[in-house]
Amino acid sequence: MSRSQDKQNEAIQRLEEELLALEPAPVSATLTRDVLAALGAPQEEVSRATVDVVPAQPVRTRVWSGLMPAAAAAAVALLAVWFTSGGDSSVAPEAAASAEVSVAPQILPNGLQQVAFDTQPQGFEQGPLVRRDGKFYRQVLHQYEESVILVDPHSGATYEIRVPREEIQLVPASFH
Amino acid sequence: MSAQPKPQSAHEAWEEWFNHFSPRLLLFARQVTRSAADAEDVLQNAVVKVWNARRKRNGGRDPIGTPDPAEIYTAIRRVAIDLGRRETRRVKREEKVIDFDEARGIDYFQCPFENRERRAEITSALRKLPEAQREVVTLKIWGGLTFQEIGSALEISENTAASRYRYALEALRRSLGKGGESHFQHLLVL
Repeated sequence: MSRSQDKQNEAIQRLEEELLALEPAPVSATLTRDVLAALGAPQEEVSRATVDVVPAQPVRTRVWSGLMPAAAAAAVALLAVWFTSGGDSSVAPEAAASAEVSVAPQILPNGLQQVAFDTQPQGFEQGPLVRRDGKFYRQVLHQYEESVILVDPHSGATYEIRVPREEIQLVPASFH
Repeated sequence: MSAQPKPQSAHEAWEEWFNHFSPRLLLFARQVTRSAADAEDVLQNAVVKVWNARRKRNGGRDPIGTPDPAEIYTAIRRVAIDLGRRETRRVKREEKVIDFDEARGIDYFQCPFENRERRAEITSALRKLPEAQREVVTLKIWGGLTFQEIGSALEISENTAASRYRYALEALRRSLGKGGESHFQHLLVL
């Protein structure tokens, strides 16, 4: 066997090992429940299946997990506001309430921005169209990031809180 | 006197079997359908079909034992073919659906986050293989079947199964060697 063939076989073997290490994604609890129900399983087994089986990771969770840095940045910004305003979690409720009154005017909203980063048609899993008021609509998912900018007029410091958001809009469907 | 353990009912045995094997069965179903939703329907119908066939063989009583690998994979494939025939008019629309699945990062595998990019490349490379090769790779790698069992499930010869597997791995190696492409990378760019 030639040296190049050896190399090729080694590469294929490595690939095989890599593929073997991948675990197929689990099925959803809903599917398990539906299958058991379709087999005529007793009700207690069907309802148990909804809690026993780990559901597949929802798509949106996966998409949003990419936005975790933004969520972390928002958390850091909130903490920064808390610390700069002299917040102390050990103060009594009455004291905390008065602290809020004195802190609130120090941090003022200074801007709001919405940046869309994805728009995609929805609904193929539940059916492409929804019906409202006798008319058909397409579901379109809009995903965007909302930024709120706050400023401390005394120190001049600005804080930005970024929150990932999504909403589904219904767009009238045309069949022409 | 110690109590005798209660014998496992057919439903309990099938539930246990389904919980254990369903991820790999669903993975195979996804290779022979055009969307994740269709794959779930096909898997459910195939399991019911095998249950009913076994029940019939058992004189209408609950089936004895759980499905053999070749039996369930054959059923999945046949149900998927039937679905494809029934819904030829949906083909164009379903092609769009599979694009959405890809764009939305619907994945075949569970994996630690640090391997996410590589996992996406592998999923993408698998999707690009011809269906006949994808079936064999899935059954061999994740189904754990022998070439003989694969041949029986797919109604092809053992040698054909082995050669398709070889071609598939070579194609995957070439595709992944090029660096592949992360099909959902664009979703994560803010």
